[in-house]
Amino acid sequence: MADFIPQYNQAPTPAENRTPEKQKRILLLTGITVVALLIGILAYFLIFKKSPTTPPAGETFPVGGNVITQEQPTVIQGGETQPTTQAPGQEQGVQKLVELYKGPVAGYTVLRDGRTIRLFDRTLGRLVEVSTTNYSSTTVSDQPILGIHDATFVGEDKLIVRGIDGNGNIKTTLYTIDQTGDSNAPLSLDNPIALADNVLELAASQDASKVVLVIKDPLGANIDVLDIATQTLKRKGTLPLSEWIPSITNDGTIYLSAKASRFAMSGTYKLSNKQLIMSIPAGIAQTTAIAPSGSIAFVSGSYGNIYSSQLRDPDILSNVEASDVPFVTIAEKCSWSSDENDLYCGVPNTRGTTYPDSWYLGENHFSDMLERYDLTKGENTVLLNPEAYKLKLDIVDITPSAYAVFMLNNQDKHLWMYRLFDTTTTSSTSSATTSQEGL
Amino acid sequence: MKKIILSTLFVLSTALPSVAFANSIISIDTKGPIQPDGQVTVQVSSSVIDLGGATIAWSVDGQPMSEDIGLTSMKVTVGALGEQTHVTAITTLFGRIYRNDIVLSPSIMDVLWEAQTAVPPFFHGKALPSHMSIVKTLAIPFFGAVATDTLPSYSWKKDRTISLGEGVGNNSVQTLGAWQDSTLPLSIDAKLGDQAVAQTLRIPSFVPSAYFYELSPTQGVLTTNALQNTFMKDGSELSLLAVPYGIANSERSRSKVQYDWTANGTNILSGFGQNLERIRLSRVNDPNNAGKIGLDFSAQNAVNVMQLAKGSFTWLFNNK
Repeated sequence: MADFIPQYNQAPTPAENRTPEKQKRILLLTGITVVALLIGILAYFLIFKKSPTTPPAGETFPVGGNVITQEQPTVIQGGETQPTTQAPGQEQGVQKLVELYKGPVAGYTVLRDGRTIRLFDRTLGRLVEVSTTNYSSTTVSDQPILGIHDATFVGEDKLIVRGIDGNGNIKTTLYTIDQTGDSNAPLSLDNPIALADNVLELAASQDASKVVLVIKDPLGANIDVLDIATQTLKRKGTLPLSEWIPSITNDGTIYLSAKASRFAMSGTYKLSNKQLIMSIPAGIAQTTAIAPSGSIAFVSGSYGNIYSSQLRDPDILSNVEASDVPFVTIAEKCSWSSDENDLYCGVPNTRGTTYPDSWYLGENHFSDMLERYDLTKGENTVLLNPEAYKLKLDIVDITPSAYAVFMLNNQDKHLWMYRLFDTTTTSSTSSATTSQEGL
Repeated sequence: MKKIILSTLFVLSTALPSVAFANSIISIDTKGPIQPDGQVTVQVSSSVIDLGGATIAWSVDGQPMSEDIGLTSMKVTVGALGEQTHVTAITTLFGRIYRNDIVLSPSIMDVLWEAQTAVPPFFHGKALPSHMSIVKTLAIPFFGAVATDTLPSYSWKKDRTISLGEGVGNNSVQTLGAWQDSTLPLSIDAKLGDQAVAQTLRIPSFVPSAYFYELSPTQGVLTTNALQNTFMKDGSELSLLAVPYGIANSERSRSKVQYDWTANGTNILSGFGQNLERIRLSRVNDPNNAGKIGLDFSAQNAVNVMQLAKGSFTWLFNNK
């Protein structure tokens, strides 16, 4: 995406330009502006100062003998002018941006029912389930696990958490999420299995059958794969470098992308027979999001001092058949739809000169747009510009579903939902609240 | 002796029927590395016969290109990475026809580097080299589409002259980085059979810098928000992690880094040891009850004193 370059024209000074006719015109324009401003202020109070449509009164639930009241989510009404083309089937007025959960989320997953989010709250150290229909949240696990930095759900019944011990070592543990007794009984995180120390990065396959781990080693890094069914680790290679962002496809192919910096080249490589095979040649500050099947990859970086993005087959080194994508972002901000026909990304409005290093350091936060690139049509749609809602979202951990896109705000790790469609008529939980919310 | 044997073979070969065949009398080769979408010169040569009087016909991917007497070389435009270009030279001399084939596959090489310096925990970004810090480098070449189990050989040089290592399978080296604000020039040559690829790069060296992150009693380190300038948070205490971004890990782990913390101008903690990257501030550090603590931090590598990371910010709180 080319940077916007303002064009400046030489304009006459106001004194040179002021004639009686023009003065009338100025008065008329001033009047119109004042009226527009008044309408704007009125609209602001009607839209934003109106009490948010919220679910029933705050849920209360017993946790370890204490009663915790969950803060109600923020519901932001749609109806704002969308910056670009509308998605097919999208109706003005039914889009809503909802802050589903106002606690720091270490990780989340959308359960099979499609209407419940299961997340790990870092402050509570517990699993919480949030309804996307009435926004109620319930703490569902019993024993708290504190000091968790990130949590990766592998399917619905496995959870991998990482934290740091007193010596500065990263500890990684695999838990099984169990439910003993009836369906109202709390969940428990059982059978903890300590994985290797200092797991620097990890990624699960979409089918939740395996997890690839990058483990710090005195020589560099070990690349291990955790088989979820057998709960065993298998070494796939030892590399002299340790700065890798891994991904693993459903068929077990491992891709490693060198970590990105504006000062360094980073490419993507397939790990095969303990050797790195070039997959996507390096570019400056290049990041890559490989689709779960491994058939396509989103690649974004700087080439000849110009940032650009492409879609390309990771099995074809040449970029001859690659297609351009009209936005630039860090690939960690992107996720593929389950059918891999759509790519959803948080796209920074402005990147700045320290991109992407300062973002990784937590030095700055982007104000992102949520965009969707339709691969079949080659069309890009800006789904959401949070700034239109007076919001700034630094979007990460996107999970697209059939009716909504879920995401975390990297600044506070709160969970947000952006509704794609009005599903009132198809909702199976058609309570009054649900209908009112248009879900 | 070799030339006599080859000349004999040539004389014998002229007695054979006029059929184009692959031969050991004339060889075909390229000059220099084959770059994607680039041009490469392909040439035929012989140590036995003079090709100056031979008629040589060239074809690329089966398409005739040019033919002339003594045309021993031709420039060929090769395809993109992963594509092959088939070049054939038919040499006719004294009624004999010799065929030579070569497959041109573009080669490239990525060279990655990694600084052995401090980064925040759970960091998805990249460590940066600082003054004379250790840098590991890894070469990942691609030699066309021909799969082989043979390992390439590598030659690593600094400033194009100083050898940093060479040998079959020697795809990585570890070396000292450049002086601060300077660059380390590296050149790498890799060969696989008769294919070659080369790469040069300059690895920069930066001034280290300190970054602060809040340590939450329940959440651990909050890495997505570096504390800068002013940080407002009520409470009686604030626990922090300071990351001396760019200071050598080897000296950090061996307690060879000196840490200094100053609150409102008063030194509150000094010494060696990585545990001094963590501190708990309290309102005791604000004796004037001003509702703010100006914090300064420095970490200096005692072995390599040019590695000095500094940082500061102000914690604002309600002093009532």
